[in-house]
Amino acid sequence: MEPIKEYTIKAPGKFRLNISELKQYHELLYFFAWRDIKIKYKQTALGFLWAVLQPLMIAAILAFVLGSRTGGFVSNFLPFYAGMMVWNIFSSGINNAGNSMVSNANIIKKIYFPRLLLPLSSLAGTLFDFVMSIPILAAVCLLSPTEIHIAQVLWTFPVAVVTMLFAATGPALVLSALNVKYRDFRYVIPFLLQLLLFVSPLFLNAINIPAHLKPLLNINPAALGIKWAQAGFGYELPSSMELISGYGIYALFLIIGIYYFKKTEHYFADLA
Amino acid sequence: MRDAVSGIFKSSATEVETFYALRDISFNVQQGDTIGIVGKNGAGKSTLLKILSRITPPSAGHIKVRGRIASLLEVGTGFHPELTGRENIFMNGSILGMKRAEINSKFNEIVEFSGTGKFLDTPLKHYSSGMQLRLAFSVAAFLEPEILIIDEVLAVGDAEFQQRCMGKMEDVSKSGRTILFVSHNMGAVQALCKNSIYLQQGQLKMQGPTGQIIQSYLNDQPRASNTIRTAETVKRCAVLQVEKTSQSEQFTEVTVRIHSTSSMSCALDVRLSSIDLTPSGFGSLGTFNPEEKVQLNPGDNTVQFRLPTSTLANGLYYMSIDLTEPDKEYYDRVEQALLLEVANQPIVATGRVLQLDWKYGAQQLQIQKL
Repeated sequence: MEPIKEYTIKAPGKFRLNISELKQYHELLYFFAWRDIKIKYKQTALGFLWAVLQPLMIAAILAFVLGSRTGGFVSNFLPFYAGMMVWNIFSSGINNAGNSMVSNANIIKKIYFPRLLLPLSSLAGTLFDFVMSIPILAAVCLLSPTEIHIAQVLWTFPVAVVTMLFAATGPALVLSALNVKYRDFRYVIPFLLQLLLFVSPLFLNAINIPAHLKPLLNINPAALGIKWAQAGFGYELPSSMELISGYGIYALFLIIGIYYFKKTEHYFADLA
Repeated sequence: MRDAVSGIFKSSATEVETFYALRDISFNVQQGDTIGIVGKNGAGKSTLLKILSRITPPSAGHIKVRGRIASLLEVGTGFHPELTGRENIFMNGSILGMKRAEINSKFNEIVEFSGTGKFLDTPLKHYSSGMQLRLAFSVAAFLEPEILIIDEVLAVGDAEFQQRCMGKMEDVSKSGRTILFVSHNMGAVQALCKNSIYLQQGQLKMQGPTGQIIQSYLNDQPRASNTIRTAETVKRCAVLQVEKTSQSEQFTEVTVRIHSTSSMSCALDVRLSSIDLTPSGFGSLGTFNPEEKVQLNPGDNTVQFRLPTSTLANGLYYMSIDLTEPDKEYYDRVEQALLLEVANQPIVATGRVLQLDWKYGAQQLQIQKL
């Protein structure tokens, strides 16, 4: 039996992250993610095959349409597929986390737990789809006639995943908190994500962009992750300038995200 | 944002009135106490519970808590229709604050208590609502918090479920845990709680032994349930108004205004029925003993009588009034003229739970004219 805890309930005061409490509730984080994964493909004939099929088909279409300009379908499919896989972490992560407060309103209204768990578990849950796609990626790598730097892929691809999670966390926290008060964000989020996809390296690599505009594209928080993902498949590694500005922006977003979330979380139960 | 936009169309700035759901409340609850919280709708009971369970923070003040708080208003929170019974036990238990190891160790007991073992791997959406409720309650029942908050659970579920709730609450309180019990059912509050808190308009009105609190609460009940009629349609004599003038643990005093067109006498019958309109008592001034008949003068008359309630089971009753000339004529009747609540203190000190004069079913009421 664990010792009886003593604590004080009082008016929200100074900002406190309360990491120890998050640690105490880590199992719930796991359970929320587990539930989301369990529910996602219930009552579907193809089940988790959907997780694999979606990026596969979009990558195929992109490689077919955009790849015709730069070397054809075969040489373009792998980088597009790798890019789509990590893009999906970012996109469904932000989408699910952004809606997590509203879709779990019934729980928020009745029980206390650190609210941060909900968006964080949504982000973690998106890794499932990614993991399901890895065998396909490996298979395509083996079959592909184009040259692949396996040694490089083995470290750049995990870096891409971590980068995407890092990039998504800040915006996800801000959006999930905003969504509680302004349901407009339910419509803003998909729109925003679509926009970011169109201005991401996935699309723009195939298009000639004036050199002086290129740095602007690094503002896209998904850019760096996609670059890392494509690095082993015939694309360059991100430049040090891109790395510094990218991670700097992510860190800034993360701080803003956590701060805004913690500042507003006390009224979630009343508005959700 | 939407507020800002819609604000353009408002003619002038609206005055904002600050509303405090709770204000200046201070009380202590000792470990192992079972405390009732009573009050009208809007008195702040739910807000108090929300603050205690940390769902909404207070805007000022603080609460010191020792131990884990769980509340039975959370029954079934986090249940998902697509998950199986087994999965829902884990999900729900985890949301309620149990560790996975804890759920594992209690899993068999939870399943057995709920009686849904056969359907453990069936998605919850195929369960009947009763089964869902049983499963939900079973998880909550094995939570073992130091402090348990119960909000009107007795209002849902069938008799067996209510019984189980009550039984579980008694178990919990016997094991030295603290219970906060919110209910509009004074009988249940009386049965479970030694001490109570009475909230009124966000303020702590009274705190003390449950018997006193309930009396005070019932005395403050609005007279809205009292019947008022006009004299215009009266032919011979008719009841204009029935009003509860006072209530103690043993008696309820009622004042009846009767309009009469001439000097006459009539019998005044009192019928009590339970809230589902099952007859539970009959008493009369005049039907059994003609000498007790009510004497009426032309115009308005006031009749007061006292109804002993010690023989009645705890609960809500409707009172109906009839004016008759026994076996001859029926002058007037008012159905459900008054709603009254009986909350007798069981005499535990003498080893009896029920009073000596307690009776079952429909009975004769010994009403006394005042």
